[in-house]
Amino acid sequence: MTEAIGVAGSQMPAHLFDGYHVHRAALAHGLNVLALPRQVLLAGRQRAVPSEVSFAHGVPESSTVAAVTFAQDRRLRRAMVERAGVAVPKGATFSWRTVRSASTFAEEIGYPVVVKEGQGENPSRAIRGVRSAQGVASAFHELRLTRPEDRSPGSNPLIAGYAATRLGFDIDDEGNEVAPLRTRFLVEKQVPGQVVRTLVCGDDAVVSVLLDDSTGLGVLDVTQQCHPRIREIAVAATQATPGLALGTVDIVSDDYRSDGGEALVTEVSERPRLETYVTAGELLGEIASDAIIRLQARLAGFDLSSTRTHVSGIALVEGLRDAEATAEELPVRADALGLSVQVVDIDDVLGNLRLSMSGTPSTIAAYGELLLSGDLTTDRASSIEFKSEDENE
Amino acid sequence: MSDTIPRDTVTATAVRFDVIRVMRVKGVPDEELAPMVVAHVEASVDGTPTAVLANVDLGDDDDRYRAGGNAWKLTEELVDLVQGTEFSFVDAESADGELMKLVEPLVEEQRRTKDEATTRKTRRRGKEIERAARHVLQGGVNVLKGRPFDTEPDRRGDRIAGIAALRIAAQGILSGNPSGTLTAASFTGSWADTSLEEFYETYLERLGAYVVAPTPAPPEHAGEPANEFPDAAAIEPLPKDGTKGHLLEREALRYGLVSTRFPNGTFVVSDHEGRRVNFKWGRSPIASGVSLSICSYKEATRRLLERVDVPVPAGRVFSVHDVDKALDFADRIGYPVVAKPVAGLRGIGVVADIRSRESLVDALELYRKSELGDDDFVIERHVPGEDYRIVVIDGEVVASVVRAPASVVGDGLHTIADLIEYKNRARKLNPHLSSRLITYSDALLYQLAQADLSPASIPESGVLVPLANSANLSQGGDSFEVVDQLHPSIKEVASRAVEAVPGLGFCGLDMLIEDPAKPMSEQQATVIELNAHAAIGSAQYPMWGTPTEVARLFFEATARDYGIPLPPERADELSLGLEIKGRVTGVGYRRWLRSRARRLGVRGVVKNTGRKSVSVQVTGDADAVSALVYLACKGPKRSIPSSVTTTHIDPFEADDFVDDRTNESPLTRAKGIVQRLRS
Repeated sequence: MTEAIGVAGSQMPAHLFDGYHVHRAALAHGLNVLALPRQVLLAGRQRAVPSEVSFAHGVPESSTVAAVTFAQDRRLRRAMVERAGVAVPKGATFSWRTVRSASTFAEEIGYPVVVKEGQGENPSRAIRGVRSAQGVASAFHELRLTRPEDRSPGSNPLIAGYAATRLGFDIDDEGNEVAPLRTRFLVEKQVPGQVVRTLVCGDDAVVSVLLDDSTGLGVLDVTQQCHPRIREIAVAATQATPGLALGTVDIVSDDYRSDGGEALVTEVSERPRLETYVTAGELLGEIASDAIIRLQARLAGFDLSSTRTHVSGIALVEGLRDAEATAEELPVRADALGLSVQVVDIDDVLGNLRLSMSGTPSTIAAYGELLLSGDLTTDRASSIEFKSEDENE
Repeated sequence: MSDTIPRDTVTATAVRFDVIRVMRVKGVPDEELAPMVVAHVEASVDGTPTAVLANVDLGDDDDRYRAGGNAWKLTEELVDLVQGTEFSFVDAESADGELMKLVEPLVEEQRRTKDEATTRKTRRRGKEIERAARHVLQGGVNVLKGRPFDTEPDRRGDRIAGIAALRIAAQGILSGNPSGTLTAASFTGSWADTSLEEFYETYLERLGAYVVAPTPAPPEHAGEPANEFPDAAAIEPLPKDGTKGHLLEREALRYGLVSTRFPNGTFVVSDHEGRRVNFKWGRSPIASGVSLSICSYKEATRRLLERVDVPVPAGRVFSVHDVDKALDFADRIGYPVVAKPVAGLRGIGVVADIRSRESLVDALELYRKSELGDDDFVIERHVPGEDYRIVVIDGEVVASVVRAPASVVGDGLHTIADLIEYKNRARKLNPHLSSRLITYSDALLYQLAQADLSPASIPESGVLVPLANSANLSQGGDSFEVVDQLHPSIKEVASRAVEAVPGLGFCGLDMLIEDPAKPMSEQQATVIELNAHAAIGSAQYPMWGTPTEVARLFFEATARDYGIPLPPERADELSLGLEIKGRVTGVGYRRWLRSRARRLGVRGVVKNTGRKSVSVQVTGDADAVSALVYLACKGPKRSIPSSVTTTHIDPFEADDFVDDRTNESPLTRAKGIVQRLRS
């Protein structure tokens, strides 16, 4: 997994990519936006509030809480996908208490197996290439370990804003902090073959990339080359869960270009994970996020205007610890990104700044997301509202 | 009676039992503290007030006494009968005789009622012989285990612990001695002049069943008794948070949809056209993931609501490394303040009404110790007002429940402990509050101590005694439905707040309101929190006030959203077919389900249909049948149901709920019988 990706002249932490790209897409289509912490974006043609379209970590508004919860529960997600008639590798879930049954099961289905966390962020934490009972036990042992950051949803940027907070933990015999006994792990047959990751938006399979097994990153854009059945399976796997408007689906097959042999679904993520697509092609991020925003706009009943390459407007930045000091730093950071920023107004008591900004949608979006996450300056904002002043509205 | 009771010769004594308390004290095996039953009796003996505390030990291997269900009922009946009666006792032995004379008819009546019910059942099933044989067999097994043959010792009045304790208390009172012991063939115990205060201090944490006569009046509010709910009996067998994952499935089934249930509060319902809706606990199908991301982060909620002119308390986020900044900020905005986690849940780590910098330091230490103690936190102004949970569905305010901290009201006669017991009895009738009883926590004892009170204190008539300083229902707080009293301007603000959050079809918002009848402009009223989870229970089941059918409204809104047409009426009776898969055979699953079905009063049949499957046909009252569907996915301890698929079937006739073993091999049946006898 990469840590950061160079984008718009900045080093964007990988986990911010989804939020960054829909922010960029909204600005590129001339929308006014309100960006809130944890990659929440509200946008609209006239104003950001009340919004016409909205996203969280790139997940569109039309994905329901029930749906994203189902997606983050591997056992449940597999059950839904199977019931929709889509093939998945043999697998079953076990708790730490039943780790021996897990090994027995692994032997029955045949090594190697993959052991995944039963619940949590997508794509799941997984240990691949497990080849023995000892390996199963040690995979469970490793995946069991927890840390205080797992219980800090407010400050941990790796936890999705809609995720279930899991506060329970035990201490094992060695004094390690571990997940409670009832926590489940998925043991799944590790199927050899090529893994294609496809982004599904509504009824459409938008982009597909071939994944590198070891890094989990896309290495080749195969949108045109992959066989239609890959796209069909990806759409079916996403729609297997009611209320899931977007899915990033991993499918393993012998040859993604043909329809010979099995094609099995190994992951369905409710989040786009665009950082894994752009490594296969820089433009894929834009194509994907444009599709996401178009999906939501359609549901809101309007057509997106054509994209623009340059945007200027006023940004209201709120909730800074030290507005005066940050006001000095911000224009400097902007220059580094090739963005033009001027401080128009400072309210040090409230911690607010008004900025005049001018640049590409990418740089403005990157700047905003990094300021919200605390990765741009030592300070961090609680909200950024941007209203464009385009004469060509 | 052939038992030897010390004969303390007394001339005819006038005795009136004024207040009787019988309490069960749980054992603590780790500390080798045995369970016991205690009777505290305040009596008037020839005009002189006396009080004794008698106790009877319930040893582990001592099967002498019964203190469970039926036995306790008899105890309550006797206590009721005895209290307030003027007795004239000649001597200790005849006094005991007179008490037992009162017991016998009560025992007879209970036996008669039970026998009638059993006879009715067995006559229907035509299996009298089998029943008699089973009785003999069970008696034989009892003898083998060193127990008396008689399988139902609570049919014997002298075996009932609570009654024995009362009898010992009576003997103690008549003896005139401050303490003593009694050993007789049928009861052994002791008495002493221990005060109630002393008793509570030592045993409060171990108190179980509790009865006091005279009984305190049922709690009431504005002259009204607490709400009773027709579905309470159906919900009672469900596990603690059963209502969370159950009520919406019940609505779906009543509206004719079919359902598939998975473990952990998950189910998917669908209509004839295959339109599906999914649920997991309170994770709503009509709330967007975006809305939850906003609502679960207080700072995001604040920024959004400010933009639509919804009043929120002034405040800011801090990291745990910025405590000094937080203290300075509190000094600046002014006390009192509240400290809470920025992405909180269930009130964890929230400390309210912090009045000074020093208190804030303590509060933050308390916060750090909570389960979210490493995360960022918010410091905001503590705004006055009472705690309202307002439910908005599709833009409309449909319920408004105000919560008050746990409390009891004195009557000049009963102790706070007495009043808490009977307040809890009323709470037990409420499906949402039955799992949220008032308990003797450190916080409660602290609250009482602050007012110089203890559980033994007897508050004056009409005096309200607070038992907590937060209005949390989980800590025994009361709830009142007041939506009709809510001023339109308050409802408008609530709707506007919810509308600002994208895709929030159902929201329970928390507002602090000083006066619900006053307009917003004339008071400080603020929105504290928006809840994107489907928290239905507290609004569906208020303790007082006219309840709103929140689950039904929620489900109807969901059906609209998903384009599912609903019939004009919900069914009041359901006939369903269930297919249960998973580890559900050879684990006592059918017997468990049958006992739950009988308790719910539904009729039908359960049978194994394969190595890993069981099928059920059930008919009856809709609330009860749908509760069974929930339970079917739970099963007894050793079972692991993996799914329950429910469809509607034609109504059918049945007298009872039976376990159909006709397709079981004789060997399996024999194994089953042996297993049951051993357990």
